Amino acid sequence: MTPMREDGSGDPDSRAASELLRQMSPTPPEPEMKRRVWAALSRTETRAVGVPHLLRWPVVASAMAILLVAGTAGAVIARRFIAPMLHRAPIATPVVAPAAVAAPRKAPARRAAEPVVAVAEPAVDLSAVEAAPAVRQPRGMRRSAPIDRTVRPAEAPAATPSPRERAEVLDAMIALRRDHDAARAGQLLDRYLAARPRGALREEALALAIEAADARGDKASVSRWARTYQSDYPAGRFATFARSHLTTP
Amino acid sequence: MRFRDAQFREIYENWFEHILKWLYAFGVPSSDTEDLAQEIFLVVRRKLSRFDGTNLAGWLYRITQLTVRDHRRRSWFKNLVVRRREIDMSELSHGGESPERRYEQRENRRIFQELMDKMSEKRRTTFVLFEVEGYSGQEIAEMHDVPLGTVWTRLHHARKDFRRLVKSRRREEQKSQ
Repeated sequence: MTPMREDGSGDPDSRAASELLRQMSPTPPEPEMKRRVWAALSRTETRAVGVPHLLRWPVVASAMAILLVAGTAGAVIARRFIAPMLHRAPIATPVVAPAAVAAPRKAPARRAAEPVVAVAEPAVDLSAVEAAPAVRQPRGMRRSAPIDRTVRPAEAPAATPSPRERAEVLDAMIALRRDHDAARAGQLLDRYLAARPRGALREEALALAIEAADARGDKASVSRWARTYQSDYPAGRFATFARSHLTTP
Repeated sequence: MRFRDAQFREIYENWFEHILKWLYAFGVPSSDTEDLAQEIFLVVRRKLSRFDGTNLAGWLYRITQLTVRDHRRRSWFKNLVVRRREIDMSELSHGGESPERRYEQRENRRIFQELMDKMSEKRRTTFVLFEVEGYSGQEIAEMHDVPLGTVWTRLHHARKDFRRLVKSRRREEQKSQ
């Protein structure tokens, strides 16, 4: 195809267009510019190779840094201030409602066959105890029977139980009810009762200790814990339960 | 690495002038040409290891095209804050010509740039590369990575546009006189 600039024929507008094109010269060589650009490229050589793309985006890098700092600060604040506040929030006192109070079990034949299962066990309301942070609700654990509100404890707990305290009693309960390890449950409860003579969960621990001792056939311990319970909580929620074990031969 | 450096140097030596011509065809002001050329070759160096070796002209042209687009976007933001005076190709000195001749050339280039600004990018680049810079149709086809027929079609339409634009400009000049 012939270049337009070489076409001088046609109407005046075409000729004017060709004339204008003839005035245009090709871009001239720029040796000086070429040398300068090469020098600049040589200077940036070390920087250009291997520079992470992110570093060439200072805004993105700054945003990432801010996010990182904010995230760390948030985590620290949550750990130092918010988590302790949540732990300090009032938690309902664990209530151990003895199933035996409402309907005392009378299954001597079954007890003889299955001593652990047949024990008249206090139904423990786990709703409060479950709040212990490090202890999860064990799978397969039985939920408590509805609490008998007519029987109220004469002695209210000394204070709100600490998470550690709840965990200790819950551990004992898991050992007794889920793992059927009455010996371990007894150890845990003995330790709890010895370490915390005025513990907030002492009443529940005593009831569980009676149950654990009964499960492992330790009659001396059953009587001892039942007596302790009766003397400490004569009108307690598990008084009937304790009394029934006192009279048991 | 050393091989790649040598390869880059070779590309730079052989294609620097071409890239200047392409920048002109894209309508880049001469004040930005040097910066853009540097930017383009930085991209070339960074991407050279990934170049498949086919159609070097097309590959370089595409990098030029994308760099110019990116530059225009950035310039638009920059011009919002600082109003820059763009110097066009007419301000380049072209040897020891007389002041009248230089003025005439500068004026013609300004008019030409104005007319080119009214054309689409594809037609404009095809037209300038063929009519002004003297590339062949085959070379333009390789650069644009299109069949030769497409180049002739674009050139045909670009010429029609150019004639129409020259005509309307002449009409306006006649009216103003």
